[in-house]
Amino acid sequence: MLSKRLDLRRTNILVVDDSLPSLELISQVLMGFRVERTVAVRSAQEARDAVAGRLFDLILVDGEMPDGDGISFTFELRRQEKSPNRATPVVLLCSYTPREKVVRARDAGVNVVVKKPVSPAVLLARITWLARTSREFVVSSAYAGPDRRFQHVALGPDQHERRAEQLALAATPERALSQSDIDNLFG
Amino acid sequence: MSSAYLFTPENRLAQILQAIDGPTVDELVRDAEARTRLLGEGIRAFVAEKLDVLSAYAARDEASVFAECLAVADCARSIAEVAEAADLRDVGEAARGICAMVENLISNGVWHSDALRLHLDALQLLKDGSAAPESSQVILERLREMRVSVGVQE
Repeated sequence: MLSKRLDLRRTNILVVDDSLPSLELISQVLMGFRVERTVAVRSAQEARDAVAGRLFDLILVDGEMPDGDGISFTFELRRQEKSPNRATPVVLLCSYTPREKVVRARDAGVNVVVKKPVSPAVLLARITWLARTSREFVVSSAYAGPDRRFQHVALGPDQHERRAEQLALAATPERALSQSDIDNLFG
Repeated sequence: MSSAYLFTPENRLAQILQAIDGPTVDELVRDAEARTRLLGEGIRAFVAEKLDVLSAYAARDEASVFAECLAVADCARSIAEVAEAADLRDVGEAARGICAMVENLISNGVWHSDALRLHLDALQLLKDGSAAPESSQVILERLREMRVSVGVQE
């Protein structure tokens, strides 16, 4: 059974928002959640400085800031191999969330997008989901961030996985040649 | 061929689940909502100030508003980010529509001055709450339909 009690007191959270009223709103929500370790900054540059020097458990970042939006910030963070916060969950906060922006955020390595103004119930639900979910972190030339795959869909009858032949061979080891069999072929 | 690797990072957030005597989710949400309600007056004053800035744009000519569309969007966004938290949901929605139009301009090069002007006029109608709730919904729905008709992605 899932616990309905939460303890966020010792959670280290970075909040990034250029708008003072919005920053105040988010900070009050976190205080309501009993978070005692919040660092609030007002620009992407301050956020870069903050993540370079301290380990955070969660980052809440504004999607729209004049000196660099939260998507670009996350994209950079996910590619910093030595950053202590490279894999820290990032929640992107946006006043306007068209599908195109959500896809761009996902592809930059953002974990969750939440609409502004932040609803306490929604934000806490997302934080709880992140706490319960241990997603793998993927690093490739095209993408760095949490594994974007949520579904394991079975292949259709006419579709074949690229590794199908190798898997079939592994499933029937008696059909595989031993090293000595292979050596004999060339002997 | 490009290579990729995966690892499972430590989920430090999981520590929040170890709360035998901690507050319940309902208590945390209730406390957070109570705190945000206390900000209501300040947010309303902030929104009123920003609406005055936007209404000044409504009085300007088309070319000058277009030239400053990013400033218009910034102003609208600052409203949309907080308005609903002070029970100004309709104002927030109309402001969000302005953000959508400017983002569409940036990404697709589509701009409609008339549509922006209608949003600015609508904000003035919605800000004082004099419109009946049903009328407000009609206004917002018509604005949304107009944005869709000019190719703005919602």
